[in-house]
Amino acid sequence: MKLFKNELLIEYFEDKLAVVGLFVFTLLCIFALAPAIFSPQNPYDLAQLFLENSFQGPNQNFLLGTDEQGRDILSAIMYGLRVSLYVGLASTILSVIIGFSLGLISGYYGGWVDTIIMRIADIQLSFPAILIALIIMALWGAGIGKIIIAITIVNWVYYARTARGVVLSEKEKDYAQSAKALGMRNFAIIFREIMPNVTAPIIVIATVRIANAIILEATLSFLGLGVPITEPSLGSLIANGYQVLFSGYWWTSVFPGIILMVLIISINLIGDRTRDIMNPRLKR
Amino acid sequence: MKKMIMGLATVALLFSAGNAATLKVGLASGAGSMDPYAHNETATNSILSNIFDALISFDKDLKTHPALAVSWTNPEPTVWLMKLRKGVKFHNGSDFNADDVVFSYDRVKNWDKSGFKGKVSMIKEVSKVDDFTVKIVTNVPYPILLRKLTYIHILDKETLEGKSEQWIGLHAIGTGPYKLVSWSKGDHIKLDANPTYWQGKGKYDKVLLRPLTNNATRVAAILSNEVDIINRVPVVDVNRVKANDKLDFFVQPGLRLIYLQMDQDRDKSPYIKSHDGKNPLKDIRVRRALYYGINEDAIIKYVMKTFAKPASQLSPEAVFGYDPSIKTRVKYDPKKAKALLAEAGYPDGFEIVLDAPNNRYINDSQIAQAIASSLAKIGITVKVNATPKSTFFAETGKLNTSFFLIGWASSDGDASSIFDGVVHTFDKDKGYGRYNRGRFSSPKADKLIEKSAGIMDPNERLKVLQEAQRVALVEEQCFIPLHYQVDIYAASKKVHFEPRTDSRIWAFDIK
Amino acid sequence: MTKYILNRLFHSTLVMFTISFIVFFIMFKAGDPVELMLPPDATQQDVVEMRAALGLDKSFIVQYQKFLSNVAEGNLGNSFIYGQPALDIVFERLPATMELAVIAMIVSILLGIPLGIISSIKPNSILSRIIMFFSLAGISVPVFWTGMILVLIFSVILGVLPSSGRGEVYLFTSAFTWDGIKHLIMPVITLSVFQLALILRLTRTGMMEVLMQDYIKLASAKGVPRKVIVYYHALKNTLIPLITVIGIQFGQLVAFTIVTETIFAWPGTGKLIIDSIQNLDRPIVVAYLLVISFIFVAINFIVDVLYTFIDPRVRV
Repeated sequence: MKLFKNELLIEYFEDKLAVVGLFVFTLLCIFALAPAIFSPQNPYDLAQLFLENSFQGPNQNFLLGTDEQGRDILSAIMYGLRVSLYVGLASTILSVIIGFSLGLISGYYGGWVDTIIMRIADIQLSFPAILIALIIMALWGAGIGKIIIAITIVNWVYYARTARGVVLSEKEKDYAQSAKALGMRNFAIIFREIMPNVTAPIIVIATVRIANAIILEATLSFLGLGVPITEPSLGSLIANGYQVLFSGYWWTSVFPGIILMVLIISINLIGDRTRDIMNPRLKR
Repeated sequence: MKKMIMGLATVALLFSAGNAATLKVGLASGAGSMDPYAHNETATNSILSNIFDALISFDKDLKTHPALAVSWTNPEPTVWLMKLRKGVKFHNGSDFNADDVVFSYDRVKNWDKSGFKGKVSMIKEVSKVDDFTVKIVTNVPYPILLRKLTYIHILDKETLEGKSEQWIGLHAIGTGPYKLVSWSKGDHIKLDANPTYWQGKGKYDKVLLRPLTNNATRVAAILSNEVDIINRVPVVDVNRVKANDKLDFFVQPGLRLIYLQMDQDRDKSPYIKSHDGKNPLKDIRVRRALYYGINEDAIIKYVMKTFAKPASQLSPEAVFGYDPSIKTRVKYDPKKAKALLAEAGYPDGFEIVLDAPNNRYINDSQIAQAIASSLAKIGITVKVNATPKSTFFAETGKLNTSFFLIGWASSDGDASSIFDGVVHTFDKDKGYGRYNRGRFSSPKADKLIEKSAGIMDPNERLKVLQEAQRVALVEEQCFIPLHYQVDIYAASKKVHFEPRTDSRIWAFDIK
Repeated sequence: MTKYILNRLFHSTLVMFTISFIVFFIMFKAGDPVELMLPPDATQQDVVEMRAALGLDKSFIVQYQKFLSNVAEGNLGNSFIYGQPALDIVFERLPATMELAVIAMIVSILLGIPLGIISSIKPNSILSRIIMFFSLAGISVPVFWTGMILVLIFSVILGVLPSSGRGEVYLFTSAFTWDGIKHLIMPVITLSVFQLALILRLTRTGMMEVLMQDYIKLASAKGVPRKVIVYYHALKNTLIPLITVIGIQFGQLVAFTIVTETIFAWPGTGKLIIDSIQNLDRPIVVAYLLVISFIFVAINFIVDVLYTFIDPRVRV
């Protein structure tokens, strides 16, 4: 895969902002992977929460303050970061797998398979993603697993379309045609010959859409239809804090919000750079 | 461009000027319908009580007073003769008489979407004796009839006959102190004073009711003088309101009890994981342990910011049936709770899901979390499942729960409502226990509850009600009472406002 | 052309039909609000009667058939909660939502395109880099977060702008009164940040691609002034595809008013839909989504037709 060729990596590091983005993202991932090591408190363990600590402003015991349950906001952010990243990554991986496969099949076989899959995609694209997710969550109620599936249902379309487009152009090319002439089975042609060429554009889209998935999750949680506050993501932390923003307890929403913003910007910086490198048309 | 905007703004101002005596009220919740029989819930009832009258009315302390009925007699235990007020007119000029009363009661009882059937279920028949006398016959002697009658707003037969549900749902024509001018759903309701109201004309010529459902919005509106009164001041914002010297601040003990119900029926409960696979809540020692193990004082202090009263029984003091001998809650005692759990065979606790609504009661989901955190300290692992009220009530209705937080307001001012609806064993045919969703069942309490329904002598009835409560709550720990909500209002010092026990805002009261 | 329009019409009807079916089904599965609508002292019998009165005791097929036959008469059913026609309730709230969306779109276009052009002409200048960084932030910041921060700064701390509600309405909009404008500022900024950044970035990418094409280079070589190349040839070719995007994005804007309206308590359809979803008021949810998808479909259609006029190469 050409993404990992050295020259591309070197090119990536030529852009300072992109390097900062990668650094920040890595740092956030480290916190998210092992919050138990860094965080002062486990916000899920209710035995560790004491109402007596509720709504403390930032101080030496609670660097970023506490919420109404006496939950340490810094710890909640670390655990929330994990939930947000998990939802973003899991839903992206799932939608890549589903969208990618359906796109490959759709593009390679054509005919009614193609018609059905693309009709569904069309209908879905003719409708705002957030509304689709909203309706699904209304049926299921809040929950991490549920929101991952909801976001997957929204996002598979983008990968399916891209994969299909590339397959359509690749399958007419010589190597695919000759593979067919040599008697390779359809399945083998798709996965051995065509797939590697579809991978690069999919990776580009996926980097950008992880950010999108995280935002969607946060937005749904903000509306009260995402992740419950008992297993808070950054979005639900912000939503919870927003209730008391006017009452002066700004730290409960502002700090998680800043981290969410930093996370998304860092992912988008990485995504932008990846796209620039891999889109030869824009290269001078 | 700027000039044009300013010009338009001036024109707009001219249009809105000239209503100096307008009372503006910001409400936490709007009306669902202008049909007084569609939604039996406090917010809609409160709004419509400005437009309609009932035969009997509550004063601000829940005492009954004559309204459209001026006097009544009770010649037989099941028969009531009500004399009606003469000379009363509906807002459209129609006369009020006995036909309207008969028509209204008929509609309440028989309209398939009526939300008030429960208020008239004991009434067998309402008939006209003469133009200004009606006879009400009840199925059994019914001591709290008058309280129930306060809920039935009287409609005009001449106007409504033959009208569609939709029409009635938009056009409120009553005999009350204010008449409906316009209703923009979710935005505002405009009312004009009824100059011929039988108690005289209200002080304010116009009333503007604005549903400001967002807490922050409602507080912002009173702080910036956009409205004169708001209800349900969020507990976290009380200090901001108090700090404003143009505002008065009111705390009124409410009728709503917040309490926990527990599955006491099934041997295996769907959301409990215990070491022996059984349902520990069937054991009274476990239920008592939960009572001892919840730090309600801390919940009131930190979650409710002191704006709630600890509940030691099922009804607050204002409700008939209150028992002064159960004055205080049991003291928070985690050690005793742990001991009780150990005694019952659960020294290491068990796992359980606590269901709670997240948009129904004041700080409902936060209370649930605080309970979970409190019970974690006696070894019970509680997972909170907070859902919107629609889901919550539907799921608990299907008994798809093991343990849940819920509220009850005895809005008749009589404890029979919680006894019939929640304490009595579930009995679909007799209509008992629809909200008894933990399926608590005590034959002894049931007998007392059924007995109390027919006792006409208040003193004797009070004793039976108190006995029923002692059996259910003290002896059997049917529920775990947490606290009574309080109603918090803020009002501009320019208006004279007094809060009412029934949580309504009645513009005629406001001077 | 006629054939094309008929084809589009058929496709659009199919889309709306599918949406109605799916939403109806989901809301059917989600349950009904009867438990919530009846007071606590109602009996189980009352619950049964209410359910029957609303037709909720019927099977899914029967209920959906009823819905379809109502639709044929231009009626999307009555709201369970309000008892009034669901479509009326949606239309009552729609002007407030459209006002927000339209103004936000205008702001995004008026700022996004010029900034995009500026940053495309000299992509490596400091100004371009600043613009690009802010546009990156613009597409990265969740809508609700922008709204919250604005509220925190301008309402809570500075106290210069009202935090919520819609200002005084004159004629059909609140944009003609000073009070109305004050209420509009923050919701409009909140809603337009993402669109602005997106339009900016698309303009820039489009311009850069076009400027690199051979015919532009040729024109440059022939001595056509740079300004003419940038503002006439290149811009024209960039704007045409942008129109499609703006069309689609307008639909997204309307959808995102849900978030904006929640934050600013704006009395539009967004707040209505959240309440109705939570109250399981199916007729309103279905009516709202059909209205929104109709707007979506109509805009896409108009954009496609516009396209044929602007770009003679496209013939439908």
